[in-house]
Amino acid sequence: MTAVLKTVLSMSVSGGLLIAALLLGKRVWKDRVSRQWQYYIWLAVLLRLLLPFTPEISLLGGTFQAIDRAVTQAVSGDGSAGPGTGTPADGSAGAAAGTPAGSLSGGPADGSAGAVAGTPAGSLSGGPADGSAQNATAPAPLPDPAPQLLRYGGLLWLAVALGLLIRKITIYQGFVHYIRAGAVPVSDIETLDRLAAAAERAGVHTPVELCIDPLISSPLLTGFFRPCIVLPSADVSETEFRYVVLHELTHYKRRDMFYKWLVQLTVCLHWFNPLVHCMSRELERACEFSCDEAVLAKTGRGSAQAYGKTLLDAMAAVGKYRESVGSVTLSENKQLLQERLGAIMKFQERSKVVKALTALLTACVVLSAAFVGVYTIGAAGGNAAAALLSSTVSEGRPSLSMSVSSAAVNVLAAEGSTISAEYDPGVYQVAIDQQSGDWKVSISCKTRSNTDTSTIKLYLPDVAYGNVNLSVDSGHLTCGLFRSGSLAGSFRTASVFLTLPKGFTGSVDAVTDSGYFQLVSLDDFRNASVTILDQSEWGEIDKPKGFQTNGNTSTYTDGTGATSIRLTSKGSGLLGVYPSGAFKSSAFLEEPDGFGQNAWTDVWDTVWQGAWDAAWQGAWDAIWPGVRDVIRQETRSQLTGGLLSGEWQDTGPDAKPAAAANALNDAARYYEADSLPLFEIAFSRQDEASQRALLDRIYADDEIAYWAAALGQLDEASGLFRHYAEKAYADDEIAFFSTLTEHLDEAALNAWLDRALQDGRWDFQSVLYTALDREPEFEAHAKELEAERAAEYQAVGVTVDGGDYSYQGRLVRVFLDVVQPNRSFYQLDINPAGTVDIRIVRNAENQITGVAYLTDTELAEFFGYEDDGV
Amino acid sequence: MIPQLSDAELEIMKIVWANPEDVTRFAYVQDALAARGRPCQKNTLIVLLTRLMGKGYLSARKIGRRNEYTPLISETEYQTAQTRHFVNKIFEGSAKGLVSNLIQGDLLTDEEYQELKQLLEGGRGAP
Repeated sequence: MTAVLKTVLSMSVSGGLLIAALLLGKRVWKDRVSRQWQYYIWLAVLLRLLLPFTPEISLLGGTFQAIDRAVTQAVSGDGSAGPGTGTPADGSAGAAAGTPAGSLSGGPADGSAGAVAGTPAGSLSGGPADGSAQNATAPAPLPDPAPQLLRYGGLLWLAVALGLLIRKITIYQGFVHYIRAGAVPVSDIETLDRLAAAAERAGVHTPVELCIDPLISSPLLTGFFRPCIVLPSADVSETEFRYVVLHELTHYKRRDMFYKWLVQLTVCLHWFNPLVHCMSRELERACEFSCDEAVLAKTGRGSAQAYGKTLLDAMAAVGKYRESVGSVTLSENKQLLQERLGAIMKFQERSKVVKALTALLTACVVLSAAFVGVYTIGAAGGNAAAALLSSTVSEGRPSLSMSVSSAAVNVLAAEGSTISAEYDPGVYQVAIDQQSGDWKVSISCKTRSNTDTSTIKLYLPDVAYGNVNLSVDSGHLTCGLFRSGSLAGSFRTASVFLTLPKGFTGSVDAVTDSGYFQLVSLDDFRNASVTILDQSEWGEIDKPKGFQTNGNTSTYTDGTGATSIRLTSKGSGLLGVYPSGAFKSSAFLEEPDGFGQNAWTDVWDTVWQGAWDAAWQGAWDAIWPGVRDVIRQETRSQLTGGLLSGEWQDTGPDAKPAAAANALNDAARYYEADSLPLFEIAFSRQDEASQRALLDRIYADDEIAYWAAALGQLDEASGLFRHYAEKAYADDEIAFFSTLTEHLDEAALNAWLDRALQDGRWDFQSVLYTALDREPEFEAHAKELEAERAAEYQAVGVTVDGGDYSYQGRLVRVFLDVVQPNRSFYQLDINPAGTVDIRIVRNAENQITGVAYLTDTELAEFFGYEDDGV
Repeated sequence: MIPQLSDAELEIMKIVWANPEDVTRFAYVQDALAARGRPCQKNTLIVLLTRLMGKGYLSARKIGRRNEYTPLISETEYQTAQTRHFVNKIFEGSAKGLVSNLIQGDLLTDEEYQELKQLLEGGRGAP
């Protein structure tokens, strides 16, 4: 409720600003701008007042954020001291929260959110956060005015808004009943015909009902979908009738009833805002003015006087029922009438310049309506400065539940017992929340794509925790803080570096799905029982020696086995489990200097781009820069502190032979293990000789997927491309050749094309034309060849007519011409209407020597089934 | 009680009742009105027909873009109701008053008088 109220308040303020601007503006433009525009421009304001959307950068977002932060901190600050943890520490909580600076009124109204946020606002602590804090065992804390105010304010607002709305509706219903009771339908066909003519003129296609009700003071229109014009008297002149009806029909045509009710709804919701009431009054006038304008635009300037007279006559009748809410009357009061008459007499067509200026003005108003913004729930302001959000953790064993989505988070130890976060509020949304002793930290990215490279620093108190839930979705998390507690992790397409400090007591149960998860035990799994469950579709699990593997489960037990660690790998990706000394044995975390050369980027880009589907590619791309930075820092810090040990060797850019050999082993190992992405990574790290050896092997194995992946890792200038192109061409391996064309430059491709043309290598020509983006040429060339070939066929007695082949006067059913001996290219035509099956006979020089009937065996060989008269 | 009809509405109902077919199309009504020397606009006719539907005299069925109307109240029913209304209003419920007024006021031709006499003698069961 408080959130809703805050949203409404902010909408009211921003809408109010717009109203004030428009009302002031009206003095400037008066009747220079079209009345229609003056009427419809309010729609922008109405939408601002009714729709709580906001663009990224907004004026009010910052202001309200500042206020909000002050309140939120107060709420969460005292909440931690609440009875949920069983320690009645409400007094100390306020002190722990630091300098009491902010309060609800303390928030500056100029959008400088960062300034306020810098000083934790503790002055409001001591009150219950919400209903859950009401507990009999704890001494009742003093009620805190601000949240209370907001809460009851919210209820009050809602009650009044609902009451007003119901009142308006009942009044309208009463009014409609009142009219219905007294209204008599007009049965005179002539009058009805005049109405029909007017309706046609006004462009109203719905049949319009016409009634006379002597109880009403001026003509009006009721009904949202079935319009009914009610006149006070049938005794009117024809002209007068025409104008009156045209005016009302114009109201209907423009759906003014809906507009009116939209305004009424807005007024009900923003009942506390006097400017909204001003707007309502202004809109009523604008509605009539613009309707007059529309009528005059239809009937022409000459009719202004007659129309004005009609208005005056309509006013002559004294009003008997004043309330006209929701219905559209012809004239509302005398003062308005005077103005309207003036406007009618001055009615003129607008010039083009005025129209252009009007368009510009519209753009201004609409844009300002959009960008004046509104406070949205939980949104941070447009302030780019790092914001600090903090809350205090009480003593005991608090639970923590943390969710990270599309953000890079580094968990650090807080100095006191305060949870705080340092982040860019323009990009991230961070919520720290407390409910009955359970802390919730939720971090997400506000925008769809995250190009931010910064890391969020989350400071958690270094205390003993109870249940800790870590959930990371498409993000990064580095954490080595928890010394105890039951850690439950759920990681999806994330990179998570979890370190268990020395003397860790508790348990870990983590599931990683498609991503990188590294668990390091700094006391080398002492007294731990580790279970690793491999449920991945494909992926890699790195574990220290000494782990027993049985099927897809690996286990390790040490000492008492009290610390239970259970890890599950799902989907695809990497899971690494390392003891303190060997955590750099991950194949990917050993290149301190490589980062400067984008080794990391390359490796990761390859993995992610090559292997995982595009669905979360976007998400990853979005968070990647941030993640990369973190990984860099992370790895650097680990390297400075750690030792290089284990069977893995440092393979820096100044690769030692041993390292290269290792890499070859890796690549070969991944190749054998059929792990394409890991193979790609390992392959890229080899020297050319090793790469060539592997490529030879892949070529021989006919593993085209690995082939393509490996080629992608080669240096573009590598001579291997030429070497293998030659080889593939000689071996007639068109598929391998095709992948190679992607890595050849245009000159080389052209050279190859010339060669293929010379050799008459039809299929290679096709591939090369495609690689050169010259398919049309190939098609032209193909046509040429086809004609040539048709002539050749003719020579041996086969005639080609359109797509039909005939031989010795009989239509050919199956026509086969194996152009190249290895069958890499052949012409095959099947015509069910034919009666003979033939094949072209070629000699060793590939020249046509004759025609032979196809035997059943040959047919079977080609089609894989016996010819049984199909 | 059957609601009263305005002149224009009655005109339309007479056309519908006079139509030998069960259903009456919109165009039929429009043409018949014109033929009776009371042409009216399409929208006017729609309004009138809508009123008749509202009063329970007609029901409409939309077939494609055209409406087909079926009378819900027959001409006889209407006449009976109107007569009852008339008798109640003018003769305070006395039908005898009406008949004697018809006879004494010389409102009947001799032929009509004879037929009426036969009708009275034949009793209620007679046609």
